[in-house]
Amino acid sequence: MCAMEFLERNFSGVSGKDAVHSKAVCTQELTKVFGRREVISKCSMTVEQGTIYGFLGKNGAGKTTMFKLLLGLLKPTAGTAKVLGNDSIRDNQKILGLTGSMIETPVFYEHLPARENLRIHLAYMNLGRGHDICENAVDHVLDLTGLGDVGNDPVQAFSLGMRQRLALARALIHRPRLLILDEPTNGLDPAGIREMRSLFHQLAHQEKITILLSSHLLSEVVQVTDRIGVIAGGRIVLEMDTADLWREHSRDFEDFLIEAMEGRGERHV
Amino acid sequence: MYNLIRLEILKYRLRPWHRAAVGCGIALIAFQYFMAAIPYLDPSEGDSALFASYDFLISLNHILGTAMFTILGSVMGARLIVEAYGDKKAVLLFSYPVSRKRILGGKLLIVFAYPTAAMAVWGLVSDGLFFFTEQIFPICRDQLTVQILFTAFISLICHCVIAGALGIQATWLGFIKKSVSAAIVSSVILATVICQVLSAGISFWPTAALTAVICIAGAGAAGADLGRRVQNMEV
Repeated sequence: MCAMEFLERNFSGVSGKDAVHSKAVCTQELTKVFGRREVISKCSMTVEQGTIYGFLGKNGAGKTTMFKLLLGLLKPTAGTAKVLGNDSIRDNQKILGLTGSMIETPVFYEHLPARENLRIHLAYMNLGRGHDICENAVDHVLDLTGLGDVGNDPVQAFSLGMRQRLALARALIHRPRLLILDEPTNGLDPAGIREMRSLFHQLAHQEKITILLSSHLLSEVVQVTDRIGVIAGGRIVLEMDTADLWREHSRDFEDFLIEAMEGRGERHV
Repeated sequence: MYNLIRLEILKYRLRPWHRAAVGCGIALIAFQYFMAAIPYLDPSEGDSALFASYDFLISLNHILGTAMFTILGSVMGARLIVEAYGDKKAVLLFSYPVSRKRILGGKLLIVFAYPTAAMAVWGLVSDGLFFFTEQIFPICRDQLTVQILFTAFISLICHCVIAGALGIQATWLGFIKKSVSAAIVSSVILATVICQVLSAGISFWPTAALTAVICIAGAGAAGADLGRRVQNMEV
């Protein structure tokens, strides 16, 4: 089975209970305080099912913290977060079974081959979800992410780009409804970035997987996303459809976004 | 739980631990014969009569085994638990749709069961080999009886359980300090203290049994606290 058939067979669009929730992610006044520092401040954002949402912000703005709040890796100080209709704290295990994620620098079992890392991850996902995804999925996601030839190599021999691809493979292997990706193109070469862009489009627009990704590459964000959110100083300062944003600011797109990321300019929420 | 344990073994292959356990076992056997030979090596030794007694020799060997396998257990706990829940690596563990406490429970079972079982195996091998050779080429002037065999077996079980329980407690201390070396140093300190207690009641197996009960209770409390910490961990 080729990679395309794998996508068609395993990501068959919104179905069952997931179809009821048109919003894949919905946060209301989400706040996170570490000590005395308010890292996320009353953030309300919405990500529609089957779209690609680009989350922009400068270093330390709160992008990764936001992702961790959605996945239940952090508990909010105030506010709520719902992922695929499930509360991020109360229904955390259910969310983790429906979500694939890539947060910060991906961690692997370095001494084990890529294939074995994926097999172990799939086994945990099958345990938690109560139903099995066939182990053929391991070979298919390796092919999908361009790692088909190196599946038997130990991860400790992988380059940064290969690790990113493996992390994406791991996020995809259990057929998630939502992908949360923290700088997924980090370390990829231009051809790899283009492949990922094409893959994201296919997953979102054909297979109806929702993708929430963060990036520093403004040009990539424009090409990949359907909607952009900008976080600055822990607050969402901008949320707009990418097409509208490009139409209104085609001449100063980069300057406009950078100003928003710096927390300057008007709020568009 | 079986599946979780199987996955832990897949992630952290046991071969290095098997090698370490074999090393400890060989050391136990060597120590057994060395202690038995003391009355011949140093006849002027004032306590040489003690070393001619099976109860004393076996108990001493078990105490040494407790120390060795406690340290083995703590190293295993440091690898499976202290390192695994270090900041970055915990993100991976917490991304699975499986209860955090269940995953930790699987790890704790391995950290307890492996040194306990390894010490049981090597204790049986060491004691069995010694008693067997004593029937052919006796070193000790003592007479082997069913009572001695029974006492040795009960003592071995108690010491094995103590080794496993102390490994859990040392792991707990290492987890709190977020330090592998703290786990190992704690195991040395715990083993030293408990072995002193055991040597005070050497050849008297109820001392070992009571110590085992207390150590199990301590390990249970440590495990429960670990579970609470892991459940509430933020990464």
